[in-house]
Amino acid sequence: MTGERGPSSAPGGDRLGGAHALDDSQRRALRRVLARWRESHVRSGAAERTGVETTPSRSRAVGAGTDIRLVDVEVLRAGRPGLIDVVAEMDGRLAHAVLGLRRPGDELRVVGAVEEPALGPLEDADGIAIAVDALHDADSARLLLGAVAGTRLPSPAARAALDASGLRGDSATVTVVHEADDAMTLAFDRRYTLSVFSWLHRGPHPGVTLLAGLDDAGFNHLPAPVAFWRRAGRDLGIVQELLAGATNGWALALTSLRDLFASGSSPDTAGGDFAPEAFALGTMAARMHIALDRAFGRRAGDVAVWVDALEASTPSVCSTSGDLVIDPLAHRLDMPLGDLLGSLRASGLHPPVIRTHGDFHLGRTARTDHGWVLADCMPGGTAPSAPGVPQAEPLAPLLRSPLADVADFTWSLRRAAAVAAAERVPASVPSRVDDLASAWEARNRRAFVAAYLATPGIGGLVPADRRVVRRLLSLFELARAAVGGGSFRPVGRGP
Amino acid sequence: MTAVPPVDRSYDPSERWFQHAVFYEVLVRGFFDANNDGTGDLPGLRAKLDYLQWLGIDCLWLLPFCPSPMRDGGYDVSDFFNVHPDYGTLGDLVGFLEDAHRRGIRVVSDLVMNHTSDEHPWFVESRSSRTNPKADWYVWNDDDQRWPEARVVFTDVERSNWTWDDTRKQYYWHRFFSHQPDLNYDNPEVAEAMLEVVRFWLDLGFDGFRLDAVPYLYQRDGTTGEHLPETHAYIRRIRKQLDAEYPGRVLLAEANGWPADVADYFGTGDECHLCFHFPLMPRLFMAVRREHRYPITEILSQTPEIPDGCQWAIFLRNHDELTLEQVSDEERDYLFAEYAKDPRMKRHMGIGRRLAPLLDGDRRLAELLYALLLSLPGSPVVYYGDELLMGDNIYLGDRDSVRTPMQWSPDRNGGFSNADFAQLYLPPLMDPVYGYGAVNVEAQMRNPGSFLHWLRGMLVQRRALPVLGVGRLDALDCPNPSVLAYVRWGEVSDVTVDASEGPGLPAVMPTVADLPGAPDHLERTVPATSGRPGARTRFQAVLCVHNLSRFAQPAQLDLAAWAGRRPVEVLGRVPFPEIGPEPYSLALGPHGFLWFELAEHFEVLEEEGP
Repeated sequence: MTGERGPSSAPGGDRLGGAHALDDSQRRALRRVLARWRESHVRSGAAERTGVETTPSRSRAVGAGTDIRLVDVEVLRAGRPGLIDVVAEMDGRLAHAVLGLRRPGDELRVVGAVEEPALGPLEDADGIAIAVDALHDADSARLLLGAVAGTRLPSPAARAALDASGLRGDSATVTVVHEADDAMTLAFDRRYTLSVFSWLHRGPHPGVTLLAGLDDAGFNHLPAPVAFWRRAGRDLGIVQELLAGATNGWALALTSLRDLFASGSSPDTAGGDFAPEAFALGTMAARMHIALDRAFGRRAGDVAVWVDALEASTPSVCSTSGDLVIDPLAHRLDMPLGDLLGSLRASGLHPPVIRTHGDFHLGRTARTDHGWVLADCMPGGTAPSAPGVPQAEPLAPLLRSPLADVADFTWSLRRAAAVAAAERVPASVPSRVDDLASAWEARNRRAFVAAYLATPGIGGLVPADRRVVRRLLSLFELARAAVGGGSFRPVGRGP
Repeated sequence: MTAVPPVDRSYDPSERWFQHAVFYEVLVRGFFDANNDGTGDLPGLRAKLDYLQWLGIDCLWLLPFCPSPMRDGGYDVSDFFNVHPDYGTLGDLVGFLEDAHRRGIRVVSDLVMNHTSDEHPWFVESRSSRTNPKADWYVWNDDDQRWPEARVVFTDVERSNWTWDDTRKQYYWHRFFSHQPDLNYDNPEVAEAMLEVVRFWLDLGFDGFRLDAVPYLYQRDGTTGEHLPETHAYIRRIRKQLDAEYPGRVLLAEANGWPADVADYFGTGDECHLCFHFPLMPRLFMAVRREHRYPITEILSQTPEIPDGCQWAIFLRNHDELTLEQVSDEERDYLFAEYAKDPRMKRHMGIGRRLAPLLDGDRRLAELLYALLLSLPGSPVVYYGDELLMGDNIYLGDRDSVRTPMQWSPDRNGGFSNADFAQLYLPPLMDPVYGYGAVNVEAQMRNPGSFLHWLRGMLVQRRALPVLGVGRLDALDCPNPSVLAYVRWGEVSDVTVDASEGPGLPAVMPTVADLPGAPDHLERTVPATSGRPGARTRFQAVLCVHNLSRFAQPAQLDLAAWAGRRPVEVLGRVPFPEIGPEPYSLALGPHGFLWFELAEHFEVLEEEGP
């Protein structure tokens, strides 16, 4: 099978280039299969967010796949069972489908919650095959892991580990770790995960580049990358070590809050005190920023510009002068907001800006037996997109003060406290729970920030004056609050 | 006297019995007073063997019973070859051992190797001059500056490991109290003398020793004086003697350290059979307060594999304080804040409280902790009285807070003794919550819903699941941090025990099946040594799921590796839905737990229609 564009530099696959190599009937069949693949995404709720039209004429085109343009087709494994990897343009975006080719009548071992992994017939030199969604067929998924593992490994040691694991064999147990519109993550024998992106960026995936940069810089609070799957400058997927026994940071924070509410005592005396965890998270955050600085470098920022940006984005809040009360942040300010913004603008400070995480919060972290890890590198330092809608164009990472990530995180502590309080007592009912929630947030905020600032090496990235740091954190928290609450719930694993 | 129904039971005849055994730690002084002098004794312990047999324990661990001035609970021995007169005679001891063995109960004893009392004749002679025959049986020095790297263990009462002796005009070395001088194992005569002590008690019928304070036997310049190679060499020497002359007897190391360090006391399978896993215990208490599993899973991940034929010994509480040596400063502060709110509850570097008061009397929490104790890797050790959820007395000095008399009945002195109250070695608990009027054996035996009955039932179940003793542990992924789940699995050996069998244990070994409520499949089935005639091997897997939270919790478990098997709940033999490739969902009540046998073939009996 061939593609409609020239070959890329990807090694390993049995790649046949040239659009002319696919005959018309093959193209039509492949488009029909991709149309079914798209339908499965429509059924999973992606339709509304991806803007698929539903008029009758449009529906016919959609069903036949005539609106789909094949961009890149690679044979990862010839024969039966076979495996092909397809990149196609549909609905203005790049879709990425991995198709298993099975003999008609083959028994499928379905992975995950899918009604029917079979997508339709395809014919190649080996005859008629049934194309299946490879990520929902255990046998195809195992083949895929073997193919991906052969693409690029970060180190000989990682390759040796993968080889030793025997995961390229047929025996690995395949389970779904996470399934979302933009990516699906499978686990193999509770040792490795394979994340495959369903929709591609027209350049490197920012989450992957962030992860690779952190790994190269020696940041070890990560599920270690084992293999990167790239072709034609696009990131298609990644193999990582599985975080055995991990719990999402959001879930652990809620566990602590529920214990606090039940005990009714102060957070420092409650059994489920989260402060040691917040402290460890603060240290991890600082190490992440130090590694990002090492990996991607830094530039000088301008505090006055940040203040201007805040005022521009939230004029209704910031235009009010004097002793404006901004609930719930006002209690943290050591001066009226107007004075704070004024003092920052007048400070003339140019602290460093670096490529940050971009959306660092509890839900991006995970607790393991060996401590905390950054479980999710998205959005990779770019501006976060709306949930479930990946960016069509490659985005340049934003350079921000690392304190912006810190503020994002402390804001998520606040959100966790608020959510847990709301779960326990309806918001309309005044109760002591709100006081406890505030005390919990304050205690863990202090622990997180204290650990962050005490981490060796962070001094070069934040102003030395702790009062300025405090005011900058207020500024960034205000900006975060203006953007909106956000869920901060777990967003799944993968880069 | 509490009437105990006679119950026969089987026993494990193999040399690896300790891998499956449930130990019961008992203070002779505090268990039962047969001669009404106010102090528990060996005839009293013998009189209560029916109760211990009924409870279902496999091995008794006796705290020191040798003659002693009793300045440290008997750990200050003044004669290694006799019984403290308060406890009886050597004849009483032999009679007790025979009776215990007749019931299938083994007995191990504390062996205080590191030091003696300063009243021991060896020390009296040694301190008398610098030239007497035992002058070098202890560690003497002209100044108190040697071995500064060695820490002081009891920092709250001792300022140095050296104490001046005015008779000999030299300092003597002691790692614990100043009235407990350390023996000098570099002197071959001392090393041989202690081997003679070992032989003496084994010849009387003991099934092994708990080696007290074993890391400290030797001293070397530039070291902390702990875990030295010479110490390991000496343990191997003892072990070699056991293997050659006393097969089936065991050594249990008391070495308080990190698992990776303590595991050295297993050697290559040629040192101790068992080692206490000290760091696990405080983390169990930490996990239930934090309501998440990480304190436990972290220490499990740091626990190395141990040689074949060895075993960890694990416990919730013991005769000492709840030691917090093997936790960080922050964790110690946390545990003090959570479990020792009154400063009088603190002892040395730990907490001097029993299980029930530590848990604020929360029975569900106690059941959860016992479920963990009985299912985590290791042989569980139950401290006397904790099967009743007895309380403590924090106003008593040192560690006597947890060494009060066993509470047998609501009668005078808790049924422990008919002596005058003032004669008792320690006052029994009389408070309305934990006092003997409220908490005692008699009342709990009468009440099938009591904690005592519950624990006894759990011990029956554990006996039916030998894989909990020797199986591998696979921790399971669960998104809920409050849930700790694992599968214990592996090959287990069974044997049909004949009533006349039993190396070292006299006959009369009937079947477990006679225990009320014992599962049918338990009949005459006990773990056995490999290669034993009649032994059969089978695969066993047990899924254990625990909720560390006070709230009900969902658990979604990745059990894909066990797909096709059917979980059968252990306590009720209730079959649950078959495991499939998808995450397996369970719900657990507050501090609840579920154990399942993962059956390969389970026939669901359908009710016949008309």
